[in-house]
Amino acid sequence: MISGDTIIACSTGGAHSPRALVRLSGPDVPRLARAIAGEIGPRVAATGALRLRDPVRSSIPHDVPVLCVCFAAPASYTGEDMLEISLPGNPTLVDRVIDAIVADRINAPDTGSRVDASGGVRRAEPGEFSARAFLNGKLTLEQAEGVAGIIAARTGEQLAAADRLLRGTTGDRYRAWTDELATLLALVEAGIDFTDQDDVVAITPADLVRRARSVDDAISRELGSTHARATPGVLPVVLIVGEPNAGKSTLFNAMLATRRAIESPRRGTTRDVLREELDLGAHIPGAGRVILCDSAGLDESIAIGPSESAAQSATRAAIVDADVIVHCDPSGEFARVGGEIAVRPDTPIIRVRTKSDCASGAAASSAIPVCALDAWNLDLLRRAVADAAGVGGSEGLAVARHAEALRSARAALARIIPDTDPAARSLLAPETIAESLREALEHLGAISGRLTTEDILGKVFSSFCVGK
Amino acid sequence: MRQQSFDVIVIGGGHAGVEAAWAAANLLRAEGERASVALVTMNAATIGVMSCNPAIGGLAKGQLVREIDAMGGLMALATDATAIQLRVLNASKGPAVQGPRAQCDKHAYAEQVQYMITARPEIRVIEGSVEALRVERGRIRGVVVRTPPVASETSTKFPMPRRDLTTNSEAAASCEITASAVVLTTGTFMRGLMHTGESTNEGGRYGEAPALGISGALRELGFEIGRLKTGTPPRIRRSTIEWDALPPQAGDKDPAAFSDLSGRMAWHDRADRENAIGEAQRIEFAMNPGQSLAFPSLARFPVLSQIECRQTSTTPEAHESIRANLHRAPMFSGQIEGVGPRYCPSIEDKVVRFAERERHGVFLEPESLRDDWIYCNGISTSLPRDVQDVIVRSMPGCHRAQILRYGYAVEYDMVRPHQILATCMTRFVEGLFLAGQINGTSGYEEAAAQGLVAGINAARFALGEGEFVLGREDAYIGVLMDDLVTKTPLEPYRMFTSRAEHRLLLRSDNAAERLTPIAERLGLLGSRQRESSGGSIAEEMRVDLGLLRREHLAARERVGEELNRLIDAIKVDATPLDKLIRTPGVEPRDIEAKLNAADANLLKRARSCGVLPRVLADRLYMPYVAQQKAQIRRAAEMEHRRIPDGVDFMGMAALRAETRQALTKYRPTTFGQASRLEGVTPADVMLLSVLLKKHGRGSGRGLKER
Repeated sequence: MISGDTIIACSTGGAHSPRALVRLSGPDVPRLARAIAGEIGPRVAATGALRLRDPVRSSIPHDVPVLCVCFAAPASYTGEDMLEISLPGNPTLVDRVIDAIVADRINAPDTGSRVDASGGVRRAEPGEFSARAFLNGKLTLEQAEGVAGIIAARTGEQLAAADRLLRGTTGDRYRAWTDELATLLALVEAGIDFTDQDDVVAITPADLVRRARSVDDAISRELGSTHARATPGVLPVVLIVGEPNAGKSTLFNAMLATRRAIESPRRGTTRDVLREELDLGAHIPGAGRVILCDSAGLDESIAIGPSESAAQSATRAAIVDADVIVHCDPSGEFARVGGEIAVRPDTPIIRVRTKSDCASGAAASSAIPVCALDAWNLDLLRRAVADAAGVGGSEGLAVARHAEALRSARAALARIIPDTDPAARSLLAPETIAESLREALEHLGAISGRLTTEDILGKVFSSFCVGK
Repeated sequence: MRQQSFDVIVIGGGHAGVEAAWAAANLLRAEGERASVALVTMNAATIGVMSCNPAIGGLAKGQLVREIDAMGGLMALATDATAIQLRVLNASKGPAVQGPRAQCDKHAYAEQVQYMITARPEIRVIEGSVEALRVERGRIRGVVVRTPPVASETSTKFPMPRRDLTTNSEAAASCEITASAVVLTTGTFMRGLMHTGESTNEGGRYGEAPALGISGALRELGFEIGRLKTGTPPRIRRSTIEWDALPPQAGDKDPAAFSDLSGRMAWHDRADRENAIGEAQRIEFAMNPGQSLAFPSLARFPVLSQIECRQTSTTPEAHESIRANLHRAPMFSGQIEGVGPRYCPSIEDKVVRFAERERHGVFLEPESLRDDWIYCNGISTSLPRDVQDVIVRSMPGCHRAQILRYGYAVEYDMVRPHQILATCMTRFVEGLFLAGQINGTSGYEEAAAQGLVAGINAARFALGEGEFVLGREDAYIGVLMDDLVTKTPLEPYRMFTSRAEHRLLLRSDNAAERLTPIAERLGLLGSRQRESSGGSIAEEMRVDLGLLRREHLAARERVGEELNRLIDAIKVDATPLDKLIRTPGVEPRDIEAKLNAADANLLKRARSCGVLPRVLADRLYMPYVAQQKAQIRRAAEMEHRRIPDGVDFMGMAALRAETRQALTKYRPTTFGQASRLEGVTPADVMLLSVLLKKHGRGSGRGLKER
């Protein structure tokens, strides 16, 4: 939402490219510009081989060479002070640079944790740069229609993206943390607002710390796994699997738009695992690249000779290594993968009902019906693959926002979890504990939906006999 | 010929009504014999009556009362004049969540309010019931009042000239009185219906008739009406209780006053000096007889002698009887349609919802020094009389207790508050203001806070001045009004400290600093010079109160600065005192000991003008408050940016359907309000700002003329 703060976003999309452009706009820009480029005058473009570092977390592998241009208000796109940073176009790198700027760690001395009163930088809402430009009179009336359209479309897309992310187990975890912190807050608030009631026993400091710490640990693990998944420079592997003759190779070729694999109605035609780079961005704006793999059909019964059995074990090994599995089955039953055939527990599986033009077999509701011959629903499949592989563009943004929100939530929780002196922290006043819990919930709420005071009061009233 | 035209008419003499009349009178001066404000009530003797628990303040509510006082209101002064037990709740917790609470003498309180109201030449009290609202072209013109045949001679008990009361000896007649603004405070009287067991009586309070005409009039004007309920416990006779055998609960040893003015005015002859608070900061004013009657707490506090309460509890036997008779409780038999408050459940509610509990605590609170009525705090009920007898007589110490008045539930009509603005003015009828329980709130303090807002805005409307709204970051009053216009309460709304996101800022110790300068700008403190007052005793009194308040704030600022300098200069074993204040486990008294050692005289002065708690709390919460203030600053521009009237939100195709519906229902007047509506995301608000700017610049499409 527009306010007097500073926003940041990558304006060149999420895909790999030679260079990426990160833009900042708002009152904090002069300070950040000094941190990054040293003293630069107004309206002066500071250029040259500047270096970005993250001395606090070392999240950026090497000092990154960048090019900075500073625009002083009002002579900028948004009409506010702006900074443009041009850097190598690796999405993961761009993400980490943005993270470091948001956390105010860029080229900063390690001052430890601090209560930030300056406001700092946050990730921009969709279309926010344009909205600011419009509100500052930098765009014409006609362009405003376009701005509104962009905001509406991107907001919708992002809501859908976040929704997709939250529908599965990730969402369950987020909701569980939110719920636990809301319960803790309700207990603390009950101890504040209802102590004139005989029945209310506030939570003990030890219990509070134990439960807050357990949420904090869980968030910390989640953040760890997000980082592990996004290895710089390594593309996610998407493996097509299924029974023999399920149409895997036809789908593989259709996705790549080449005849890379041999298609044949004969069972067991494909024996090796074929690997090809696929740029999903060609069909889905903003999406990135993956390694698409075709594999031999899963069938013990035809494993007669040594080459067949080698093909079977290669496929099984590939299944374990894959980041995303595309399971093809024209019958729509999808019985074996994930059942008798081992899959890593958190590997997303996309079910595809191939040969849907033949319309045989049961219709599995969660499966995507495709027909590789006339490319029916292939875009839907590409979108699903991009989402599952974490290169969906808007998902990438959603994931980054999630990580940012999770880190902010941890920073708030850190104030109530004792690190050195448990005795001292247990004496914290309940109103300041509530303040920190509320802040942590606010950050989590940015992902899983805001909690209102009514929600908290509802918890109080349902668990305590309050009232005289 | 009686006066028939006023600037502001206030309907209802409860806690919202008197505060509205008082605030309007602070802004509208009387001209000669002509009063500017009419206070219409069915019975002048019930002005300021405490219908339920005779207590003022408490958690979050105490902050509201302190804020009302800082704005020149009435409630804190009336409380200080009549308190018989004062206690700070949550005293062991931080200053932001402490809540001062007073138990008042219920007879003295109502009389005190009547004194104060009658002492104002700006206010004329009119007895009668309102039959109709006069509305022309969407604007209020006045009301039709049916006056009783003969004004009751015993209606007020105080020895003041009764010039303000109607002494109409004609037959019952309807008359029309006009004003450019009308404040409606119907409390529980609008189609009020009382329940005790199977028996129901029409009425808004025990022994008093309901108001039947107004809710129909409001319906005809197009208002959406809801229904709520509330309840009250039985009252018992003290002489029939084994009082001394029960564990006592006493008030604070050194009680603090609610009003900044209490204890600060000296008698001219200074004979009464010993009783006053902190001589060093007292301001010398001559107190005339009118002041000493209407504002006894100015010269000494507390005014009345202080009492103890007693504690007892319900028993398993009583719970058994309640369970066996649930079908006779109107709430459970479906007799009551209204929704009751979850935070103030009836005893039958508590027994059902918390079935595992064998007893619930009950406080026995004396209602007055003049009679032996005891309020049974904790057993509000609508059960029939025979069950109430069992509940009361099974409580330890109450085996022979005589019930003087049985508990009852009352249900009443309210106007769903999305139909008012944050000024309390209705959206449909210009100049018509609603305050108190009619907006779905509960509690004297919540009512008074709205009365203050409505009274100020009604007077400003009558004067042709712009609206006055406090933000959520300014005051609990702002939180209250904002909550009312952005949510539809499903139960009577009560203030909690947890409703205020800036509660570390909104403390009772800094109410004067936060709000008195605002009151000054609005003109609520009156003129600066006694010479301009016109000479009447009442006018002089008003000027004196204003001067006293200004002097008080100035003294706080002076002493506060000195104290801050002293704190910055002190180190304890190389640790700055400032840091020590924020160290967990360090008690305020440890800090005060250090300050006392450094400058005993300054500490004494800081205590006596009440600035010490404010300075220490500012230091205690400094890191959090700095962050909150930065956040408030960042959001300020958007928070207070106006959304023009008459925008066609449904026509904004770019917004999601859910967003359009929420905006259309609540019609937010600022982007801040819009952002707090359910179903509105930050991106929606941004989109709205772009769309509105486009509308504003373009042909005005989608904007209607007002």
